[in-house]
Amino acid sequence: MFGLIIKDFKNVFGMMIYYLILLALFLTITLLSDNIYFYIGAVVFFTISVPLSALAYDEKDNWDKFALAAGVSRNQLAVSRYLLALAVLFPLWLISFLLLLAEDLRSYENLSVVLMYGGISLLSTEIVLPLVFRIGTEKARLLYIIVILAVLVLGGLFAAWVETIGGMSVLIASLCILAVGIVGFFISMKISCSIYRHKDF
Amino acid sequence: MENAIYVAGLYKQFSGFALQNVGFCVPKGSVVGFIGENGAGKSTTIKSILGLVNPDGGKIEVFGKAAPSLLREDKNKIGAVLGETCLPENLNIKDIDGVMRHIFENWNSSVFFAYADRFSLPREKKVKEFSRGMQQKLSLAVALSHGAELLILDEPTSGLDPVARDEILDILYDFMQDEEHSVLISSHIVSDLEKLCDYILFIHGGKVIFEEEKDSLREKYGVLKCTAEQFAELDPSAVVAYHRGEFGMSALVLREKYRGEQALETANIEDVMLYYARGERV
Repeated sequence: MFGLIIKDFKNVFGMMIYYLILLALFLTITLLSDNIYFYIGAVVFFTISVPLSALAYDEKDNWDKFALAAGVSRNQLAVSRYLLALAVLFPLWLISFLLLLAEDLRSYENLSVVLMYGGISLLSTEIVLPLVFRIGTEKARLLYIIVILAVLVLGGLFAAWVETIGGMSVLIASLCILAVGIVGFFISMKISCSIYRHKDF
Repeated sequence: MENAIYVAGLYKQFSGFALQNVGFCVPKGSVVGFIGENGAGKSTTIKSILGLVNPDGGKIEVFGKAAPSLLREDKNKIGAVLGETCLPENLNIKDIDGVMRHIFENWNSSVFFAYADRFSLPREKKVKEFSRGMQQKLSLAVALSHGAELLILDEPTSGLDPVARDEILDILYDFMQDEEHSVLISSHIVSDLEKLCDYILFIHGGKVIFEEEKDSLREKYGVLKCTAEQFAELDPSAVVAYHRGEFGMSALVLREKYRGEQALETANIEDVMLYYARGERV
């Protein structure tokens, strides 16, 4: 499993500079505007797009054929893509908590946003990955764009809601979404493993 | 005799094509050449053995164990080359070594780099910058660098020039010096198989036509060049298949049943394959 993750990171390494520039840009905008949405929105984007890029490379290289022939199990192949998403999400999400230490960003509302977007990142990943496994990265590209747009719309609605209501109820709602994201992650992994089990390469 | 691979009654249905009752074995310590035209079912059979395709029926055993129950350590004893490179093209040789160390339990970096040097593969260049031949050599270097006892090679010499092909055949000879080692190799370049193989497995239209010792093919089959009149006098049971040409007839015949007076020409593997695949039947 570790070899698969290393391979993914080495494979997308060429795109890292592009990703890091984008990340730095969103981080700067967040700090200058005191608006957490810019950075946390980028976290969702990276959590989906890094595994998708890695998958697109794998598809082009026929990597799955090699891995299966080498003794990597179908379940490991499926699960490794989720682990890659987590490996991207966790450090970026951790940074968003660190951002909350800044005086102008420190609030229950922003904590709610960070928690909720952690859940949204997980939910987006768990919707997109099984579909990509089923129909391939090329066909799933449209779906990926729809998910990103849906996240933007929901984010806007959520921002309005936070502005209107605020306080503990929003925090509880955010925790609920995060919990749904965590539970859904395991369900999605199970679905993906089943897709992989029945797939011919 | 102990088998490295045993396949019986293998069945796999695709739309417009099916593997039907495919059965053969690769005895331990032998090289089996897998021949057949494009789309005959060679790659599907190989993929079924390697667990890349879920068969609809039949039995596959590797090292005496049912293929679906092979553990990672069993699969690690198989070196596979799958036609396409199947390695991450954004990586260079050093990166690939770093990845394979975590994929194969018995990965041997020094063996891998020795093969890379022997094949003149540049260490800093990305795989996508390699020529097709270099990519094939890299795949073979990976297959030979983790202590494999069985090589399953799907078209390993396709796209290679004769010198590179010869180099790869030499390496396969070296691999076969160990009596525990076995090879299943598919190729369209039948002359390569003539040099290397102990057995020939021929598949046509998803069905195994024969698996024979290479040397017995020459004893079993002959090619007859004759006129239509001479052909008409032949015992039909002696004729496997024939071609009708502008200037006469030619037929693949069973030496054992042939009673004619014309001398038979030696049938090489390619002749046998072509008559079975394209010849007319009596």
